[in-house]
This record gives sequence, C-alpha cells and structure tokens, in this order.
Amino acid sequence: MRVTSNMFPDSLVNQLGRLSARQNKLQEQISSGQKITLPEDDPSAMGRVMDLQQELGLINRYRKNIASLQNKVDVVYNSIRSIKTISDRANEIAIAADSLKTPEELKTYAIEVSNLIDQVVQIANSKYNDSYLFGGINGSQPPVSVTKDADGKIISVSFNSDEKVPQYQISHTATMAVDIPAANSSGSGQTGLLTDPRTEADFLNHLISLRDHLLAPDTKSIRDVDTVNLQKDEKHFILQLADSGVKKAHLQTIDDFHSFKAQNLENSISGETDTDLPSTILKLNQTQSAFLAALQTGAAILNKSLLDYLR
Amino acid sequence: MPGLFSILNMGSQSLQAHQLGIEVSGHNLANVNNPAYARQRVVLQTATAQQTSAGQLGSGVQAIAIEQVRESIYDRQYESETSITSYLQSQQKSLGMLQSYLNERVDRQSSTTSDSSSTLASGGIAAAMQNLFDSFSKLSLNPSSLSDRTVLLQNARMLASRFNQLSSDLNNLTSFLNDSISSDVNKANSLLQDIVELNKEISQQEFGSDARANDLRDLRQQKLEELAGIFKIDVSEEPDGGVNVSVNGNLIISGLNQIDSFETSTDANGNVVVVLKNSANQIQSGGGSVQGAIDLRDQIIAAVKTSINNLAAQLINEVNSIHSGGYSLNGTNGQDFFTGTDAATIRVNDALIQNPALIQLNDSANSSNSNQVVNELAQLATKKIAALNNSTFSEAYRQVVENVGAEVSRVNQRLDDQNTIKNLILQKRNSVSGVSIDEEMTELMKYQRAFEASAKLISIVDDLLDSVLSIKR
Repeated sequence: MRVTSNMFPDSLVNQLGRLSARQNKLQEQISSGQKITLPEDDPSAMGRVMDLQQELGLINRYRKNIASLQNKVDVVYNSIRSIKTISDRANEIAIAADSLKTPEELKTYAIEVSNLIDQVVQIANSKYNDSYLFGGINGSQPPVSVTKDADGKIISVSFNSDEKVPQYQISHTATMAVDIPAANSSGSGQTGLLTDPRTEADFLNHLISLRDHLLAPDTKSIRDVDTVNLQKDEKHFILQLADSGVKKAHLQTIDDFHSFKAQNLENSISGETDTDLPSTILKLNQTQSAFLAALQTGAAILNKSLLDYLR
Repeated sequence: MPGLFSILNMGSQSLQAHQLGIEVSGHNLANVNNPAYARQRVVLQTATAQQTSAGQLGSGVQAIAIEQVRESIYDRQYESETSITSYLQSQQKSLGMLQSYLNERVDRQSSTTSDSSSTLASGGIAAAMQNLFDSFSKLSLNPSSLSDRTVLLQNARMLASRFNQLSSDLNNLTSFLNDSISSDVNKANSLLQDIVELNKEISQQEFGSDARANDLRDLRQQKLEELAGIFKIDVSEEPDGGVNVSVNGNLIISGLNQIDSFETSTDANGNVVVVLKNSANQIQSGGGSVQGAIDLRDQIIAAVKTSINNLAAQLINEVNSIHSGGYSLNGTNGQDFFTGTDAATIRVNDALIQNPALIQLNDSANSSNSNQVVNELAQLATKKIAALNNSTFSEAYRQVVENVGAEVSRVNQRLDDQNTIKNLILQKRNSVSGVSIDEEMTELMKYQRAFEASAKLISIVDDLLDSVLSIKR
C-alpha cells in the first residue's frame, strides 16, 4: 500500500490515543481499587452491585433495628428483674408477717410494702425513647394509674396499657415483639407485665392486699391468700424473665445470621467491583511498554525523511 | 527537416512542461496537511512527431492535463462511514450526559469512610430511595420519635428533589438535542447551497474542455462529507461534473438545481422533527448527527423519562395509599405524604414538613407506639409492584441505570469499532489521494533535472546558432 506523509503520523496519533486511554483506565482502576465506577464500565455488574447494595442496606437496617431491640429487651429484662426483686421482698414480708409479730412490726412491714407498690408503679410507668415502656402500642399514656387516699396511700390501680404490642421487622420475613404491656386482661396475646389471667398474676393488687392485711392486721389472710397470690406473681415474673432471655437469644441468632449474610454480600460486591491489583498492574505495564515502544519507533520514523538527505 | 529553431522551440516546450510539474508538486506539498486535498499530477504526452527523410522525428513533450488522483468509491464509502460515525458521536455525547445525570457510580472508598457502608456514591436516586425506606424502618422502632420523623422528612425531600432534578435534567437534555437538531439543519441547508454553487462553478469551468476543476472538487467533497455528518446522503455524479444528492430516497440536489431543503417542525410532544420544505416528507435518514439525536431523544431518553415518571408515580401512590390509612401523633389522618403525580412534580406534603407530628404512622388514634403502618411503609423496599412489572422500586430503578449503562457501553464500543472502520477507509483513500512529501520531493528533483536539461538544450542550440551566424564573419 502506498503510504503518504500524513498516514503514518495520523495512525501513530490514533495508536497513542488508544494506548493513553487504556493507561488512563487502568491507572484509575489501580488508584480507586475498583474495576467499575460508572454503569458504562459493566452495566450488568453495576446492576448486580445495585441489587446487592439494596440487600446489604436492608440487612444493615435490620441489624441496627436488632441492636436497638436488644437494648430494649435489656431494659425490659432489667425492669422485670427489679420487679422480681420487689416480689422476692414482698414474699419475704408475707412469710415473715406471722401471728408472732406485733401490730407495730406489721405496720412497719406495711410501710415497706407501700414503698414497694410505689416502686412497682414507678417501674411500670418508666419510659424508653420517650415512650412508656409497658404501654403496649399506647406509648403516650402512663400504663398504670393509681388512686390514693388522703394519706397518700395507693388504694387502687387501673391499667391504661394496650394489650397489643408493636411487631418489629427483623428480617424480610420475620417480625418480633419485644414489648410487654403492663397488664393483659384478655388472656390472649402478649403476657402482661403485672397482670395476666393465664398465670393469675395481679402483682399490684396483691401488694395492696398484703399492705392492707398488714395494717389490719390480718395475718391469717396474709398466710392463706397473700402468700399464695404472691407466689403466683413470683412464678409469673420468672416466666417473664425467661421469655425476655429467649427473645434476646432469638435476636442474637437473627443478628448472627444477618452478619454472616452481610459478610457474604460484601464479598459479592467486592467480587463485582474490586479490581485484581496484580493483574491490573501487569496490564498497565504491558500498555506502558507498548506506549513507549510506539513513541520511540514513531519518533525514529517521524524524524527522518528524504529532506534530510537532499542538499 | 526541422532546424535549430525547431529544437529551440522543443526546449522551450519542455521547460514549460517541467515548470508545470514543479508548480503542481509545489501545490501538492503546500497542501500536504489539508485533509480535503487530493494530490494532483501533470499528465505529460509526447508532442506530435514530424516526418523526415530519416523517419519520424519526435518534437518533445507537452503537458496535456493536471489530473486529480481520487477514487470516487472511497469518497462514497467515507461519506457513508462519516454518517454512521456522526450518528454514534452525537449519541455518545448525550448518553454521557444522561449517565452523569443519573449520578449512579460505585465508590468503594465511601463505604470505608462513612457510616452508610454503601458501595454506591450518595448522589443518586438509589441511595436516596434506600435512605427513605431506611428511615421508615428506623421509625418502626419508635414511631413517635420527632427527631426520626424529621430525618424521614429530610430523606423524603432529598428523594423528591432528586426525582425533580433528574426530570429537569432529562427535559434540558431533550431541549439540548432539539436545539442541536435545529442548528444542524441550518448548517445542512447552508451546505446544500454551497454544494449547488460549487456544482455550477465546476460545471462552468469544465464545460467544453478536458480540464478538471480539481480544487473546487476538493472543496465540494469536503462539503459533501460535512453534510454526510449531518444526514446520511446518497451522492452520484452527473456527466457535467455536478453531483446529485438525495436523503432517504428524496432528491435534494439535482446537479445544478436545488430541489428541496430541510426545515424543522414540531411533533405532538413539542419535539423538533426534520421535514423537507417542498415535499413535506419527514426525514428518517438512518445516519448522521440529526438522526442520532432524534433516535436518542425519542427512544432512549423517552424510555428513561417514562420509567422515572412511572417510578415516581408508583412511589407516590404506594406511600400515600399506606400513609392515608395511618394516624398522626395528634390522632388526625387524611393527609398525603407525597404530593404530585410524577418525577417532575413529586414533593413532600408541606403540612408534614411544617409539623412532623402529622405524619400518619400509627395504626389508630392514641396509639403512638403502634407501627403496623410504618412497617408496611418500610416493607415497600421489598414489595413487588405490579405497575413496575412486578419489580421492587430499587429493581425498577436499577433496570433504568443498567439500560443507560448498556446503551453508553454499546455506543462507546460501536464508536470505537466505527472509528477503526472510518480510519481504515481514510487510510485507503489517503493511500490513493494523499500527498507524500518524499514522493513530491522526488518528483521535484525529476522535474528540476529535466528542467535543467531542457535549459542546457536551449543553451547548446544557442551556441549552435552563434556558430552558424559566425560563418558569415
């Protein structure tokens, strides 16, 4: 083929342009550590990365939710444990308050039980994240309302909590309830914290009854009624503690599963996006060598023409 | 028998012929970097011989033509490849803009330096959509949290503004393409006039003679190639030197006459279309920058617009449908979460922005911890929507990004291939028509030597004449 004066430089410029573009691309890949940046680099891989990222985002959200729920379960667990401690003390008082005690001693016990009632009400009306912890889905009203006599003694309680509790999404398909309403009177759904017909628990009323019997004094009722009732409450709290422990373990299991899945997703994203540095550096070296060779040969050829030999 | 004066005349003719050769080589060298130029050469022919008693005696040389070295098949091929290249170039430029408007890119560094752990850069709709559903999910833990509600509104507004921005960018891109089509049409009409004028001049100059209007032909070829960059054209040459130009089977130039011209009109969507002024036929040339812009606008950008609008419309419908069943912290309901109907008009309800407590996330009045409604809103992230071809929102959007990426990649690849083909054709043409400095220098030396020899001949004849004249002294 006849080669004219501009064919060679034009061809050289095209070749150098192509090699420069390739070097630029490879250098970008090495400096960013990514083999794709824009959708055009690999549209299918970009699509897969977006899907994987969406899935990873959801998993991470579930994990954050689970971490928050674990905190909530801890708070609930600690609240139940505090109430259980109060229950232990109430049981001790009920057993200690026998006929051998003087009315003054029983009155002292009654004052202590009054304090225990206040503490239980205080715990039942505690807040978490600015909502009542044991309100069920009704987080804006104190779950326990009390009526006091002229001396400031709580003489009756009523429950404003809703038996329904929020269900939290912890995976694509699973929801979980970690809340406990202060009371359950229907006997179905989530067990009540203080009152539930299934376990015959009615802790606050049982405490009020104990206090009143201590003040009466009526040690027979304490022995025959209050001790039995408080034992039922005690068992109820043990079940509640066990239930909270199970929930915490369940959340941890789901979180572990999510963690494993998130790691796999990260690996998949890495496989789609991360460049293989050794092979990319090798390709860059090859391209650089070709670029240098093109420059050297081009300079050698472009530098000479017939004009150099004409006098 | 010819005498000394005849030899003198032969020398003079030879001098003129070789001087012409030097001039043509000089012209070639001067145009070595002119891409439109086709090299020229002097056609030499032996002058008519004279009959002598010894037989026929040659009378030297004469230059009979200055010929342009050009293969019309390469010109036609180059025009055709120029049309395809321009078609792809016009698409590549705008597709690059479209891709940047989507603003979806992988940024692994952001996942290691921010809390989001997102592989995607945060500037696109994908990240904004994920943030919105993330906010709903977070609120499901505590639907009454005003700070989380405020974050939800910020994320919703961010998503809405990205839809608005993308919609505006797509409209701007459409306007840009419409302007580009109008501008190209004006340029094409100007080129048509130039080609007709050049046809006339070439025809006049070549009429009744063998002389070719070489430089005018170069200029006309340059104009034809510029026109081929705008519309795919078919070119044929007439015996009088003029060319016929047709587009999509419509004759636009017939030799010395311009039959038709291009003009722009608007279709039902307000988009610019190209029609022929006289025949009113709509032009679908199948190549060139105008067709590239029209196809990109009417196929790819229109599809992206439809998808984005549908995505925004479904998001508005789905979110509002669930939101309308919920109750605010004040126990009220009936407010929409989003207003608007598509990507251009989607907004977060102003009333909610003024008072985040009005967001209807609870299942009933006075149940500030109820989260069934907000759970449903969060689950929209994975819900298959019938109107989105049974895809989730993120899958539908991912499809848009993937399609745009595939188009950019396809056009880039095709343009790379097309440039190779075009360069190959250009090389073929240059191998015939291009100027070689070495070749021209050699030619110059040949003509220089021949010129010097002819001058020597004249000098010798002059000496001979002196000798003849000195006989009388």
